[in-house]
Amino acid sequence: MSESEHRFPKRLYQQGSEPDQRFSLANERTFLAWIRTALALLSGGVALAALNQAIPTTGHKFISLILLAAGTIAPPYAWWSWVRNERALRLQRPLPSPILTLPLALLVIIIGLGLALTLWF
Amino acid sequence: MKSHPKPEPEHHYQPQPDSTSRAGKETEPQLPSFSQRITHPRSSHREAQATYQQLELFDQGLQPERVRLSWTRTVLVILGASGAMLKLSSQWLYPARVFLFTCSAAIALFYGLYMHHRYYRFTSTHILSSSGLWLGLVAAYVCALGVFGFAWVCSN
Repeated sequence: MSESEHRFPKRLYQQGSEPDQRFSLANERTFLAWIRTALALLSGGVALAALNQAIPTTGHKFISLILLAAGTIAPPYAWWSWVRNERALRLQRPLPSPILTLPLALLVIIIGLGLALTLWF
Repeated sequence: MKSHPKPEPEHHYQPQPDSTSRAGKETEPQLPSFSQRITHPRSSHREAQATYQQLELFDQGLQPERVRLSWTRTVLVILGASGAMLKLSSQWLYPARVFLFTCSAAIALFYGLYMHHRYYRFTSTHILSSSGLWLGLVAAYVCALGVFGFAWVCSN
């Protein structure tokens, strides 16, 4: 039984050839960075909701729900992105461009401005 | 016009088959040199070659260490978030708390046993046991934490 049959997802490891291990490790670190980002978004959402219980303001619950939604979407995206990058490395193709980075950056900017406004007024 | 000498042909990384010693015992696989593994646009420059050779000395040790530290940070944040969720979910159903506690313990155990083994195996043998299974499970658990967070915010 070949080594690729023990690895998950099998379909990914049956494609192409083994890349330089350092690239695989870098891909794994990128995945972990996305997971930490997701956890930060989730923590922010829960913290805002907890703050909303102490100091009720309009919009806090809405913003916390948006943060939680982003934090829930990020882990599946991280895994999908890891698979996509690993496939590109195995097939020696250019790495695909990240899809969620720009929307996430815009979301964080908008939420920051929204929070500033809700706390000001 | 004098033409420049042709640069040396660049080599791509090819995994080396396991070598066998005279006694018939398997020895550690030898990694090719850094210049063979990496094709760099400036690889014909001697200075760049020297820098890469210097990097090679450290890189083999640092790569797994960086991954391990990255896992450490992630597992610590996951355990912190799980602990906070356990504290918040005091009014929730018992199975939800059991699920959170079991998953947190499993992740801590996985990190303590598997990652330790993987790190030392890679450092000593240069064989990476890479698989998406653990990554998928961690992603699924963080996603579940997000669902718990939603439930908590909506119920308050």
